[in-house]
Amino acid sequence: MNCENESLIEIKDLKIGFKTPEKILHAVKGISLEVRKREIVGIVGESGCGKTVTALSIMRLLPDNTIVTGNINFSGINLLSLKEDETREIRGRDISMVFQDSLSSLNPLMKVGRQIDENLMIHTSLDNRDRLSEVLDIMDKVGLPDPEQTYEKYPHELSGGMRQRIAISIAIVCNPDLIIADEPTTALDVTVQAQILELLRKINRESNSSIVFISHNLGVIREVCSKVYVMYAGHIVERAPAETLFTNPGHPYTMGLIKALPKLESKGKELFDIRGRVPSIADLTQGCPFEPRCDYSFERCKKEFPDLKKIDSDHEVRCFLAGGIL
Amino acid sequence: MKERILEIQDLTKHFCLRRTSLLRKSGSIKALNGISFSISRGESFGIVGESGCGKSTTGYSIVGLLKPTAGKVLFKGKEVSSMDANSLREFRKKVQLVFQDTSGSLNPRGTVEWILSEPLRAIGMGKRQTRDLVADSLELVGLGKDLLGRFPHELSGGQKQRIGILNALILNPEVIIADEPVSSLDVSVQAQILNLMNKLQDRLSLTYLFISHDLNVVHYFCDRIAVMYLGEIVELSESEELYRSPLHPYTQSLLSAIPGGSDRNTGRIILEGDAPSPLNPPSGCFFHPRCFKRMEICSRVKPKMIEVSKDHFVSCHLY
Repeated sequence: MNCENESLIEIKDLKIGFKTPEKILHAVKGISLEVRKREIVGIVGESGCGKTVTALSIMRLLPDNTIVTGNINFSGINLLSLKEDETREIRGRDISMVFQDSLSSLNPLMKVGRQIDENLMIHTSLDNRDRLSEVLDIMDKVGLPDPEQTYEKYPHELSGGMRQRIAISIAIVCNPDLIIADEPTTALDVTVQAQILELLRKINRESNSSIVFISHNLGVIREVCSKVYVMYAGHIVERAPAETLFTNPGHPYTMGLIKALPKLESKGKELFDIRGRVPSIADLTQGCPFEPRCDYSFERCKKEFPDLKKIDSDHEVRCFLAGGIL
Repeated sequence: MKERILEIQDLTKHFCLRRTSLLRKSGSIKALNGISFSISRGESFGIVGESGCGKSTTGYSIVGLLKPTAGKVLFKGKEVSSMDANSLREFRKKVQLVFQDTSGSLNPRGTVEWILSEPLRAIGMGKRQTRDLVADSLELVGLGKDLLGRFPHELSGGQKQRIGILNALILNPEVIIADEPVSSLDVSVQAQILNLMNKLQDRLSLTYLFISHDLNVVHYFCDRIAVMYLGEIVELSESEELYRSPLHPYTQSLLSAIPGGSDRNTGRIILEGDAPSPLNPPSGCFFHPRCFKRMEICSRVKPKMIEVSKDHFVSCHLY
């Protein structure tokens, strides 16, 4: 049986709104995405496009003033219909998360080894000794030096790269099916970033975990992901295999993002910039949300919201012009 | 040869730590260990390196926000530390800083107009003149006069950085020291700000000292680049040359670590471990514990800076 193609999590028409005294602000406006087993899926977009909120909604970690509708199907269960204690069972065991800022996501008053142990304590029935050896094992696996000594350290005593390795240990210690990594390397230096990316790829190769990789950095996404969703203003505007996205982007926004990156060849030339700025989530537009910044926009874009159009078997673009003159 | 507008000689900065116990000697963080370079008028000079390598300390020491432990800063041939009050005031006008984090560097309780007129008030300009100048200057960075009454929190990240740049420009400086000016911005806005800074350079004949951790940005923006590691310059070269043929193993690994490059997954150099603490740097060459080309000599003898080819300097025993 080819389990590579089996779907692990399927999100359908997910909408996330925040209640404010005046009105409801929509951060995510109906997105659908799918992660298959053993796949690394990237979500890329600029700040405020809704990528982190999407991740938090899968983990059911959004605050009370949010309204989430739609369907998140995770191995046959709709995560959004679960009660709090049922979610707690899944969280950390079947789905876990690695956050961007490890200094604030780790408990500053607890030894890092204990923080990894905590996850095992909640989700397994192992005794103290087995848990300890399991924790030391995992610390060794993620490349932390002298696990026994590091176990006793507090987060502030470790470097940024080591803290992120601890955060990854916590996420993988229960062997989850899905790891959500939200900008896991953004706060790190390039050389350490390269180490962490290699580690995540190794985890994906050696265990059966799928990874949802959220980042604003296109280079990082290209490096680790097989499939990429591009988000803009709460919508998915493009879905494509990672290489296709870079060699043959279909949406004007994706093209702009790629052209705006300084590259070797761009030296001495003016950089392409997408004019204007990302719309605020309070802005309501009838047509395509990218229309005001788009170089290709025409009358129809102002009035009508484009559907996702298939331009290849695994390449979809939300643009009227996709596959045509673009 | 072009005029050297800024010359840094053997700049050293050590931060003393408070003694933690009576019996222990107090330590010091060696943030800068004798770096030297010079910048010509009209040039964009880049400093690149990872966190803690001393790149911001360099910027702050040049403008005098930090007092260097040793070494000299020369502005148009005159030493800054021995300047009299008048020339010092002139120096501060002519060398300005742009910061990374605009939400931290712009006063949250001041309007755009107040923020931009502060430097003018400091040099004693009259009220009406200040108001006119501020209102006219916004156009320079592509903003409209309608922003004058706004507070920083009402602006987008890109607008804030434009105000930060304008704040540095308002006294008509000759040198801009930009400390990670685009690091906290989204890609599309980053491109806007880089283009703006390039245009301003042509229009106002500015000289830039551009500090960043992003190699692609530095390569794009700068004419010459200095690569720093643990408070030292390990390689200095014209930027095309540095990219084409990096000599220092650290530069090589930095370039190969850029994600999404064309050589992905092939021939990538992944360094082991983290950069050591500047509190207690290793012996010999500071890079030797992480170096993939280390030799026996590296842990004993500190390499000297040598000129390998024209204007390409490196400090490594391999050459």
